[in-house]
Amino acid sequence: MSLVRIPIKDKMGSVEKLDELRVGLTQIPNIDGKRLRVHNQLTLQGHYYQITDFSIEVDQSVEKEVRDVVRKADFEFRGTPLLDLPGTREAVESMVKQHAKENRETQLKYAVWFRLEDPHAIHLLEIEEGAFDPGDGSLQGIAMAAGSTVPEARKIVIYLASPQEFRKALVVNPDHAAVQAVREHSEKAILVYPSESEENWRQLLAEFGIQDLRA
Amino acid sequence: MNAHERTELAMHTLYQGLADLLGARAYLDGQVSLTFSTPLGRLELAHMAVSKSHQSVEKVLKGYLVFHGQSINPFRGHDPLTRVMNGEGGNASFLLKFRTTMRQSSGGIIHRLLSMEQMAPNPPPVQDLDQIELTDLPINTEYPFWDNAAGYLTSPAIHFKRADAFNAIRVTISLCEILAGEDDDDYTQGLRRFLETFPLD
Repeated sequence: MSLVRIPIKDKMGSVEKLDELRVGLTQIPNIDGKRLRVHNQLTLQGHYYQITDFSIEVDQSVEKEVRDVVRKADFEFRGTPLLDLPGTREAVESMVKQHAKENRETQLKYAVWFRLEDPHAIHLLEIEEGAFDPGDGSLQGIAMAAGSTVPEARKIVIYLASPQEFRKALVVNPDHAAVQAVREHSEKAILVYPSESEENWRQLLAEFGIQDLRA
Repeated sequence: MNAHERTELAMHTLYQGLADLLGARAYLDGQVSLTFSTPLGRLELAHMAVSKSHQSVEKVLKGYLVFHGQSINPFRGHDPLTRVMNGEGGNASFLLKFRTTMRQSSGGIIHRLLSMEQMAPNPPPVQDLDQIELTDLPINTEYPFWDNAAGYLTSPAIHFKRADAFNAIRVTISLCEILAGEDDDDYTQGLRRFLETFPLD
């Protein structure tokens, strides 16, 4: 499982707020072993701390939970999630449509956009018939420069997987962010291809034997 | 060539192969924005990633065989795996073990690697252009070829797409992982350090 770094804006904060953040982080389920590291510089100014160079490193699998705690403690992230920027969603849909058209030896079945909080990169799980299956369910992603394909994005990370690899990942790689996103799709992911709809999600979940937690 | 020189040659071949793999990833990295539309189709750089992946496979395998004292000439041919799997080099115990390892590797990687080796450009069997049948031009990553499935002439820059590049890079990395899991020596350590330095996301 790869580490993510979550950059947080400089802030003048009280001791109580800092403590709220600390307690919130330690209360995240199974946070032990998730390689949580908090980096910052604290300067005491009266009853407040000036917090600078602030970031949190943690396993990708609990990124969303950590971001929720950071938000609750009234801290803000450096960088707006790409999803919230105008035109991003349409650009991602257009790119995926192109992917669906362009291959002869592979055939796109599903494209899932996950790690929606990322302000710099689009993370796409693309399940394609005919994709190479390394046999280990590793679901490795390969980054490409975004260029002008998706405005404001620096990178597009494609996790190209055959249906067999994704099926194996569900069993052997449950902490992978893509696996978690599909399992908890309503909050963590957008089904870009065929399209975001209840029916298409149901089809994907049924095909891979995933219980629909919302049912 | 003495044993020391052979080892040095093997390690240089390995590192050149790993640089090819970095090159494959670099081509893919720029693929999204570097395209050019022509009347025959859209030119992309995916074929460069496929080509560099194949060159990486070739060198990583050749270096591995040379490192282990095999009589494979690294300067000859582009298909060391095909040759070894077809029996070249004889039945030394190292080669028997190597063939078994490759056959037993998961994910059908052996078939992918053998297919990749067929992508190297080879001249058509006849030299006179007038005698060349377009349908005889085999798929490769550098020159126009006949697309059997589609039934027309095409070129690598138009034919190969993003998914082909992704597959080729992942196959190459899988090969590196397989070899890195073998005996603990300078060669496997070189592979491991590379894989740790340049992991996929």
